[in-house]
Amino acid sequence: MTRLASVVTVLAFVLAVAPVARAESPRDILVVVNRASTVDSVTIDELRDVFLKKRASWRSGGKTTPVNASEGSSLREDFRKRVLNMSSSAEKSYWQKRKIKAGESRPAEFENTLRAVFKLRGAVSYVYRSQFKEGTARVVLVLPAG
Amino acid sequence: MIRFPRFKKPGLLTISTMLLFLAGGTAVAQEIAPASESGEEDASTESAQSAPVPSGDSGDSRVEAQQEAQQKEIEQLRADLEDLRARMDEEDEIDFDEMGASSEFEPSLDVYGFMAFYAGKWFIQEEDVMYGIMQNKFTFGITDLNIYFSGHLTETISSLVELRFTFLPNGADASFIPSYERVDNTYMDNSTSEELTLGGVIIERAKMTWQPYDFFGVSAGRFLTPFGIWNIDHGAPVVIPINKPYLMLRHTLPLNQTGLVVHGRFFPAASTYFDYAVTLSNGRGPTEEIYDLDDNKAVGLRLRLSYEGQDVGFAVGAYGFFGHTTDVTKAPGFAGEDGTTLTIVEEITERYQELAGSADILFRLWNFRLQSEVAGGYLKYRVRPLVVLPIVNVESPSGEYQPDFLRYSLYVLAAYEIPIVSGDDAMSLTPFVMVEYDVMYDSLPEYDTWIYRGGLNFRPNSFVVLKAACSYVRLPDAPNIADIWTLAGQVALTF
Repeated sequence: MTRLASVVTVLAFVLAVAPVARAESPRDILVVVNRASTVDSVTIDELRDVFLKKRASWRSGGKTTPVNASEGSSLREDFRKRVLNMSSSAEKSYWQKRKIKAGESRPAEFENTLRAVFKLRGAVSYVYRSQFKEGTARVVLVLPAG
Repeated sequence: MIRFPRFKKPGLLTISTMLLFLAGGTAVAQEIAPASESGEEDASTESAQSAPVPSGDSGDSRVEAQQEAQQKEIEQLRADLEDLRARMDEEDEIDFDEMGASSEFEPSLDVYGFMAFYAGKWFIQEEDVMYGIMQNKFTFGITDLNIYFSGHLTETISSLVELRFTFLPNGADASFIPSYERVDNTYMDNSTSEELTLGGVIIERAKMTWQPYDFFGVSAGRFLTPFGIWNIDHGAPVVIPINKPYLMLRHTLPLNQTGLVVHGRFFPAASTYFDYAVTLSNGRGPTEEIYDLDDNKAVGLRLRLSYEGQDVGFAVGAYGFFGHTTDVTKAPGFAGEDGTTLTIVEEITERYQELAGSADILFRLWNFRLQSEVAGGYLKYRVRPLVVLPIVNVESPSGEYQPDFLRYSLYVLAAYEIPIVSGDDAMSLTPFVMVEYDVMYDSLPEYDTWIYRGGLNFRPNSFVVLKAACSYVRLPDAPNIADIWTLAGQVALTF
């Protein structure tokens, strides 16, 4: 009886702390790479380094070409908050300094990031789940909405 | 604006529909299979099949025929799907070509820069020797005008040229002793009779870089010496105070070098970076930008560890430098058996060996920033020139020769950025204080200098910063130099 109680307790605990399967949302941000890329997955830290050009290659190898959504778009704003964790103004200041210090320019901007990733070898960018089309790019990270 | 009509085409809807149909067809085929196994006949299934079934066949053969027909249909749909995908790729290629892009890396060239406008005054006692040397009137000036050309030629090859434009050397004091002379670069354009004053261009950086990996890259050309914090930041919109610290003004380490740099970065942990750079260059010298006057190349090693977290950051770095500096004079001579062969003979007028280094630390906690650098060097002479008097830069009338000496300089800077407006239109105020200590020559302790600075920066947006600062300079052991005050303002912007 004691053993049964223990098992029940453990099961109850596991169920309580187990992650609840989360429904997909059209506002999820999918981080995508070119289909030819050998990258399978990336971390947010790695992604932040790539989009701030603190690293030029993936940890698993291969050059990166970060592609941003157009400035002012909600996609860009969401990505900035969730990955870069900075305001638009702070990002601008960051790039002003990088330009002067290291001669480094900010990533290219495209209105349709999926198209850029589809065409540009080494490209990495992001789209809302609702904009993603199967077969055009490989998803390496999902950033849940909210 | 990038067009991407591919995803707006009805062809995709067709594909989706076909995929659904395909999936449906497969499902039907799966539903049929158990029926055929049980040998039962299904009238509705039979009526749904378009393939003709010979009368009088057994149930098994009819089901097989149905499966075969469905299999053909599935294969046909798959072929159609592949065909559609190929057509979409083809159309996409055309659209991409039309907008002038390619699937390979696209070379780019960025041109931008920064400038700074200055207004200020040094308050110096009239009887002080510094009065006539330093600028003692309230004045305006352009202190920085730097233009960048940043090219990315391939994924791994890039170039960077940074040019600093200056009105100098026109107007510079050329000498005080025995008589005062000033550089006058004014010339008349004979075609228009207009008098033009020529300025100068300083090539701060002109380098090409091959960086196949983050951990390994090579740069060749003219580069900023990778030491400290200030020399890397170096632009008025980036650095906090208006005036450079003495370790920059005195060139305690060479600010730029011409040669090679091997550099790279490692990522030991999240948001943590370990950078290294090995430099091989002409080192210092009167002509080091163009050619070296000795065969001994200068070598340097930079190491830096940094953590750049969201709220907290720190960095520690060091740079070591070892090199030889040589100056020569050249005179015509004659050699050969008959003494008629013209030669140009070099005579070394100065040569010293230099062991120098720097250390820097940066600490950031939310909006508070503390940074400090120390740089120093020991110069050991092989060929000693006459002693040159500091500040006025003339040879000492005593005729003594330059002894070996140690020089060093350090500063500590603390600043706190106060956000006035947050968000995308952020504005901020940054008060700062800074203390410096400089030993120009350990053999001339009367020139040891203390400098205290304080000021306030206002940043209305990310492109512009307005600065106001005051400084107090004190040479406690100098017999004929009184304390000096300075007031300055600066507007710096990037473009």
